[in-house]
Amino acid sequence: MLEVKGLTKTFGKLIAVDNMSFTIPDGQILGLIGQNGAGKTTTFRLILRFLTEDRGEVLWNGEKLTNEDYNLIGYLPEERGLYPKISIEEQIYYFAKLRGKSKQEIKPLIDFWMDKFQVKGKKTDKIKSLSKGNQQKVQLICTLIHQPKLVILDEPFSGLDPVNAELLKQGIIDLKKEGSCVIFSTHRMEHVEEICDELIMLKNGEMVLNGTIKAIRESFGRKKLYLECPLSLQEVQELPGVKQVSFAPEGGYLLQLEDEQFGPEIFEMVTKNGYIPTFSQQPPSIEEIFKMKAGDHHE
Amino acid sequence: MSKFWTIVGEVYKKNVKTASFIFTLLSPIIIIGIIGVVIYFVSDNQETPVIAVISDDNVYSEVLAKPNDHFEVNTKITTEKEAKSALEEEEIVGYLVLEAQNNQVSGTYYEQPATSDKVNAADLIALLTTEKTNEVAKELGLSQEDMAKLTSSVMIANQTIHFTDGKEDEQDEMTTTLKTVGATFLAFLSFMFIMTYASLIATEIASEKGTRIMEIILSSVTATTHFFGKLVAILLVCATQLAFYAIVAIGGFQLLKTDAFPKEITDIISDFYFSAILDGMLGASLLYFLLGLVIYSVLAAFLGSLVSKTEEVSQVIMPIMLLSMAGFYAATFAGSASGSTLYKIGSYFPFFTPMMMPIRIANGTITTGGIVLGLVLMIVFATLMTYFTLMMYRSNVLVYSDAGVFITIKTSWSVLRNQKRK
Repeated sequence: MLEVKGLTKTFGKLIAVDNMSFTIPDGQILGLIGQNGAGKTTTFRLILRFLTEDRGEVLWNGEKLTNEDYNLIGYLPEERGLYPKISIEEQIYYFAKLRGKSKQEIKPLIDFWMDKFQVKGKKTDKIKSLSKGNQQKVQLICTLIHQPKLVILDEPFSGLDPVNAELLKQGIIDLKKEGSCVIFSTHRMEHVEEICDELIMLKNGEMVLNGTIKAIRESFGRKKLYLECPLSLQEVQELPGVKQVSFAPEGGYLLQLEDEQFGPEIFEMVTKNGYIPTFSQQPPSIEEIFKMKAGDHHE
Repeated sequence: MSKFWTIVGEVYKKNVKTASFIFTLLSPIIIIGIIGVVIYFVSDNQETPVIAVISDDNVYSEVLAKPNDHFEVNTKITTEKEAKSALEEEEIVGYLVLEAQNNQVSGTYYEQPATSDKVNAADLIALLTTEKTNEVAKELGLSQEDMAKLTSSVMIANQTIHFTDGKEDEQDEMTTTLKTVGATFLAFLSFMFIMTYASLIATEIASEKGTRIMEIILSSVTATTHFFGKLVAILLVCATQLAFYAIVAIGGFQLLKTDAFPKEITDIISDFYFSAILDGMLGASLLYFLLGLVIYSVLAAFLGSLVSKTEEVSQVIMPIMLLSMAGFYAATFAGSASGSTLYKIGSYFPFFTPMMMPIRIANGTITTGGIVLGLVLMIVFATLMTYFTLMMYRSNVLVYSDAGVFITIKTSWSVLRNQKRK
């Protein structure tokens, strides 16, 4: 279990991380979102002890992280790095040895992992001969092959095509099943919604969102309403509590409500003549919340 | 295997396998080989010049016609007229007209101007004089012993006395010169190794920083382990090169002692010369050399950790090039003035010590106390610099900045102070 308590880091006058607290129980996934420069990488660096915090602490199973815990960590930095001139297996062995594993322990696992991430090429191929996507997969294997208990992934999805992103997603879910704590940052909200148990959004080092995906979305109210019904645009605009109406891309109307409480009343009105194909009242998506929060200037 | 040795092993393996290392290793041997081949062909192609000798007295023409290293005599030419036309045809390079009367031998040597294969008149004179002396001795009835007595020349040996610490130093001029040759060679070796390995270690670190491999490594091991792992690995690569050269040198020396080479060459590289030259390179001088490598390597590691691109390495290690070059030039050009105050002061500057100190030792312009002081200064300096570099290293390698070296140092320093405050 990873606990972060009141973590604060400043660089001169700049507050990079401001009083950050969260807990990741074993087998849980935390997503970290935020614009560039919001403090995501600094948070990772503080957890990894590359930087020393001004205040607060990072606890692993109730104790401070020490040099002994290096072997438990799997870290994928934002910008990938491999030695171009050595082979895939040499690269994997080297990083695994630095995590305290022996060549004998790792050797039987390489084929499994290369298969799992569908790396194209032989394990004796030089890194530089691989495509960027395949290099990234090798990097991921290096991050995960020693079965880390604390996995930190900085923008793991960037540069992956949808097929490979899916493989990675599956890989992260597998880690969760094995009981690892996973924390990752991303700009791709669909990944956050699909795999995170909890979410934190950072803005200028401050946590502006924190909680489960569902709770966060619900906290914004179900102000979005997808409607497919025989009413005209004019009629829809005149429904109670409607702030704005647009045509939904998939057909029908998309209504913005002043408050979610108008829902039942609208439902009554649009169904008074019987069946309608769609009535879907939803909270904003994480992406919408992200844009909303990122756009807030008064904080 | 500990993580430290994992890093050492990986970095070592990576560097000794490069083509450039293998080339560096072999280049002196290749160069010596090429020089050898050139000398062989040049000496082989040199034809012995042919001359003609015109003389009434067969004794002298026979002496000159005996096979020698300097020239050959065309015995078919017996008249001046024949000789002149042969000279014109360039069949011969010159001809000697000899007159011998009443124990007086005189003659004229005719040659074309500016021919490449010249016969030195002195060689002719030497041969003829010996023969003439023998002839006269025979006439006077002198024995071989009397001859030896007559011709033995006066012997004067040259011995220089050095006074060190008010005591007489028995080292002769020759030994000093040879030692200085050894010491200068060591200074050159220092310079060469520093140039090679400083850029190697700086590139090694900058490339890991640039590719962000550093972040993965620093999440696996401490910065200290990583730093020393790299340093030791590169110094081991360096040791590999030195050991290789030592083996080749010893092997070559053994080969020279065999009969495969002419005596003239083996004489030059006799035990005496060899040990005197080696004397200038071993002992304290070797320690200076090794400590110098450490100091420069640490500095290179520090400078390498400041940049985030390998392209910037050559720029950032400029100070190393300048420092080592200054030391090397001081040693080679001011070495003869190694007793001067300026040279003495310079030789204690740790960056110059590895080049300048061996010359002072070879020339005997330093006391044992001075040698020890130089070593202590270097050790203290190396320790301080390693400590300082380690302190900065951890924050340096995580500060990515294109703003330049000084900004990086500043940022890194503030990161460091931030860490310390805690």
